[in-house]
Parts: sequence; C-alpha cells; structure tokens
Amino acid sequence: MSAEDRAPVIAPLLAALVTASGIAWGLVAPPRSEAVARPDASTSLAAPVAEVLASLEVGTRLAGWRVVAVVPADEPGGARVDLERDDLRFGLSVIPREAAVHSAPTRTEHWAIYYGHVRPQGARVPTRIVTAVTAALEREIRARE
Amino acid sequence: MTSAAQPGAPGAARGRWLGHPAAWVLAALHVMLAGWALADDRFLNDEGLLSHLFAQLTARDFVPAFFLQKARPPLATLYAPVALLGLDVFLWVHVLLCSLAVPLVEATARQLGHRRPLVPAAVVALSPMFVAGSAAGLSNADAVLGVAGVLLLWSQGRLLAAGAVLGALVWVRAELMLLVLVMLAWSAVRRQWRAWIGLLLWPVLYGLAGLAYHQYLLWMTHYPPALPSPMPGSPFWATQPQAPSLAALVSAAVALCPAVVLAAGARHGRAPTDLERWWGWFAVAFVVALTVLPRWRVFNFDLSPRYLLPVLPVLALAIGRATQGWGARAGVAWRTSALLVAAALAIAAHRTGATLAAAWAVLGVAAAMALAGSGRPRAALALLLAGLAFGPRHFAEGARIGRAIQAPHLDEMVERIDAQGGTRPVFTNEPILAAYLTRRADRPQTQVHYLVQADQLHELTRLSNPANGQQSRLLAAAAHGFFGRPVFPADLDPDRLPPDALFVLRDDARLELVMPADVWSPRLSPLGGGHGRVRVAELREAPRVVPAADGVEEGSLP
Repeated sequence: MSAEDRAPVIAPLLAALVTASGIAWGLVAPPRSEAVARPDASTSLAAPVAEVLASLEVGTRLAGWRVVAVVPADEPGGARVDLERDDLRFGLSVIPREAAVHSAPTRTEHWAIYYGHVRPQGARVPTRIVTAVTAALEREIRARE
Repeated sequence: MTSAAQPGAPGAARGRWLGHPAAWVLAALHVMLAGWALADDRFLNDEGLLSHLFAQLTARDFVPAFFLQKARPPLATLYAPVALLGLDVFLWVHVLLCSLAVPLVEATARQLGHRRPLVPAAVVALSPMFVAGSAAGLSNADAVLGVAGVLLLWSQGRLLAAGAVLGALVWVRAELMLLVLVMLAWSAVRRQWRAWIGLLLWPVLYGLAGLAYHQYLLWMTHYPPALPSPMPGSPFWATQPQAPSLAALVSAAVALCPAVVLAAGARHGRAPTDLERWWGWFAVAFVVALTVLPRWRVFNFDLSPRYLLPVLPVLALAIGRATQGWGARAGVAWRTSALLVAAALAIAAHRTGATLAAAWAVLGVAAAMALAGSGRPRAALALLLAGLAFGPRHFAEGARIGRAIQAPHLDEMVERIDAQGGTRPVFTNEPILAAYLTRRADRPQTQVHYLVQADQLHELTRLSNPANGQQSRLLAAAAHGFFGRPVFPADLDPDRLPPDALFVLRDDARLELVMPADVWSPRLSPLGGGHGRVRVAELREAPRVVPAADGVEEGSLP
C-alpha cells in the first residue's frame, strides 16, 4: 500500500493526535491567566478563608465560569476568586464580615462577597451572570462554614 | 414513492413524504430526549414561554393577535388550538411537531440522491441545540421544521408550495429572509417563477387582510414584527456583549452539531447537487449575518446561539454528503486541513474559557474519518452516531438555553417563597417563576403576579395599533396571563396591592423603570436572608406625610 493509499487513514489520525495533545494539555495544565496564576493558596491565604474556599482549584467551574486564580484580597483575612470566560474576567472578593467596610450585596454567616476587578477595562459582565456566579460561590462557602 | 431520476432537479421527481421507518425511530428518539428534558424543566426558557403566550393570545382573541406581526402569526395560529390546555400540553405538542423535521430531512436527502440519508436525519434528531429548543418551546426550533419542509418541497420541485411555506416562515423567524433571498436568486437564475409566486402568497394575502383590519396601507411597516431599534433609555442592552467570543462561537457550533467539522468535507462527498451548494451558501451567509448583526442592535438580535438553529437541516445534509466520501483519497488534504483548523479553534476556545467539549468532538470525528479511511465505513458510522448520541447530554451548554444558565436563581426564589408559607401573593420580575412554580406539584399553589417590564410594554404598544382597538384588545387578552398574572407599570402602585404581597425580585437593571427607588424604597421592607441574587421584600405602611412649616410636604418614616 502506497503512502497515497494510506493518506485517508494517516491524515485524520495525525489530526486526532494533534487534538488529543490539546485535550491532554487542557487536562494537565488547565488554562490560567498570565498575571494572576494561582499561588499556593495553602500558604498565602489566611486559614479561615482558605478553608471555606477549599473546594476551588484553578479550572473549577462556577456557573460555567472558570476559576483562574485564588489570591489574597486587599482586605485582611480575605481572598479574591478570579473567574474567566469568553475573554472576560472578573473577581469575587470574599471578606470576613467584620472586616467588610461597605454593605455587601451577598453575605453568608461569616463572609461578605463583593464583585469587581472586571477585565478588560471598560468591559461589562451582564448582571445575571454576576448573580449566578456569586450564588455558586456562596453555596460553596455556605457548605463549609 | 417515485425514484429521483435527477436528484435535486426541480420537477424531476416527487419523493415520498413518509421517509424511511428508521427516520421515524430517530424522530421518536428526539421526542424521548426532549421529553426527558421536559420532565426536569431543564430547558424551561422565557422565549419558549413567549411562544406559548402568543398562542394563548391568538386563542383568546384571534383577530387582533393574528394581525400583531410580533406574535409570529403563522406559528401562534398553529399552536392556538392547544395553547389554552396548559404549558405541558403546548410543550409536548411542540416537541412532537419539531420531531417531524427528522423524517423530512431524511426524505430530502433521499430525494437528493444521498447514499446514507439516515445520517442527516440522525444529525437533526440528536442535535443538542435542537433537542433543547424543542423542549423549550422555542420558535427557532419550529423554524428547523419549517426549513426542513421547505427544503424537501424545493428538492421535489414543488416550488409553489416551497415558496408559500417559506414566505410564511419569515413571519415566524424574520432572519429567514436570507433563505428567501437565496430562493429568489436561485429561481431567477433557473427561471422558476412559481417560487416567486409562492413566496408572495403569504405576504400578499396577509397584507391585504391586514389592510382591511388596520385600514392603513403601510400597516406592515408601521407595526413591524420587531422593534427596529431598542427602546430608548432601556438599560438592558448596556449589559449585552456586542461581539461573540471565540469560546462562545465554538461552543455554539458544537451545540448545533458535535460533528459540525464534517460539513467542510461536503464538497468532496460524491457530487453535492446544485441545490445543496446554494443552500450551503445560505448557511454560511446566515451564520455570518447572525454573528455580525448584534453589533448594531438591528431588530433586537442578540448573540443567542439559538438564532443559528435554522441552518441545522442544511448542515445535516452537508454532513450526510460528507460521510459519502470521507474515506476516499480525493479531498483528504482538504478534510484534514479542516480537522486541524477545527482542532486549533477548539483548543484556543478552551484556553479562553470554553470547555473541552469541542476538542473531544473533533477527536471523535477524526477517529471516525480514520476508520472510514481504513475501509471500515460501518465502524466509522457507528462511532459518528455514538458521538452524536452523546450530544444532547454533554454538548448542550453552548446553546445557552438551559434553565440553570438563564435563571440560576429560581430554586432560591422558591425556597424564599416557601419560607414565607408559600401562599402569599408573589410579585416578581422573573418571567419563568410562575411556570416553574406551577410545575412543582410538591408545594402549595402560589399566586404569581408578573411585573411587566417597561420595555415589554413598549414593544407591545409600539407594535400594535391603538386606533382600531387592536392594542386595547391585546392588553385585555394579555391580562388573562402574561408570565403569570400581569401587573402593568401603570397599575403598580404600592397602595393598591394586597398588604401581604411578597416581592421576589431578580437583579435586573430594567426594574428601576417600573419600580423607581424614590417611590418604592420607602414602601418595601427587605426580608432577611437575601444573598444578592434574589431580593425578597414585603410592603410596609406608607410614611406619614406631615405638612412642613414652609408648606412643603415631607415624609417621615414610621
């Protein structure tokens, strides 16, 4: 059988190989953001917030949005969960309620959740999406409070 | 059945209508999959409820609803006989009707001389987006049925009938005007003027009847099927993206059909007919137009993937054609290039937020093509069909029709209502809530009042005629049910509502237009446990109004 005869088998197999490599890449190294790649949360996050966010890994999905980073928030004892989808990114900050200065739209027994850090700058995330993702994060937190 | 002497040559043959028995098995499979989704309300969707609402309006007061172009008159008339029997009956009838697209596509493929006409039938039956749209009651799914019927009639040479059906279909989904243009061009080139006559039948007859009703020559353009531009001042569009991301596009394509990449090989699939080439160009133009139109907010098109559904029959035929030559040496470079491009897009989409579904789909297609190339066409087809069968359960997310995506707060709303006893009259801006509660047999029945939003009322009034009584009759018909018991903005007065009214509100920037904060904030008492995504409140007494020293009234909280 000549190489030409084998082409209908070999060519799609090569394409399959390329695709499989991409899948393996996605499974082994889920996409993460360039600047906010997740640091080792167990050492950088305060213990209480790390505990309630223990289920979140890079690649975890909240209402269809991918967690790309979990980093310490500006407020003491807090953390910021960065989420990404469709080239949009935003952050949900989880702050101890006693440290929360402003009234938070979403609260659990001990935590306040704020929305912000939208990127690219000037982009808008539809309200219903923020609501859905916040609700998903809230459920994760409540399950561990 | 008479055989197709010259496949695709209009008038050459009259194909059979009933199709292969296996096509009906596939149609039954479609009904089962959609019925499964109906059981758990997976695709309960406000656009589907809107189709039901239009059919209800038509059943309650036929004439004014029939001449409201926004109500999709051909479709609303079709469903009007069952519309008042309840949402369940409407949705089941919708699923059954949509499933007819499967044998229609199979018959078209047979008519066009496809060697494997069941492949396009399977693509339609198992399309994740079509199953979802069928179960949701979306008019986009009805458009699939309509287009499938048009293609069959067209391929059989019944051009008058094909044109007549397509001419009416534009009043179901306006975007099908593109297929009208293709039919006009094709029939002009072929000098098949019967298609022109057919296309004109509905617009002329409907237009003349409407002229008699509206007593106004330009009624069709003065009261168009959709708002030419969004309501001024509506904050809704400010929250909508104007261009689709790669991730959204790739996910939508896979939701339409996981084997979509195969369509690229159609041109090497044993001589597609002239008709199929024309339809292919329609599909390309349609997808491009629906991807680009939202940038200008023309006719209220947003980026919902469901708008792409009408290309499904054409896509299915292209995939069916492609499987006829997918193991051949001819075209292998083209097919492989398409696979590699698809793989690159799928991986890039994954890196920017999509799931790996598209990559898995490309992998499956590549494997099937390799099997076909090795001389195992049956194994290749089996793998393809197995992949398609996975679709409705695992590739539907990109369709963005699901309840969990559209209204993720519904279960919390129910919990909050039940926490208040479940029997207080509920006032909500969530259009799905009434239907969702009605379908929950495990809880007390709750009276749900829907707060009609300003832009919804604007659309209804802008697109209907106030001079001949149409508008008032439509509003009277809508008062029987409009996502629950409707409360129009003019009637939304805290002093006229029942004192035990419970407000269950989703976050929506439009709410301010009907519940301005300066009026409502003093009159609502938030109930504890709010989590941001759902606001629950009850009425409180009006602030006592005392005359101030300078004679100006001022309020004081009780």
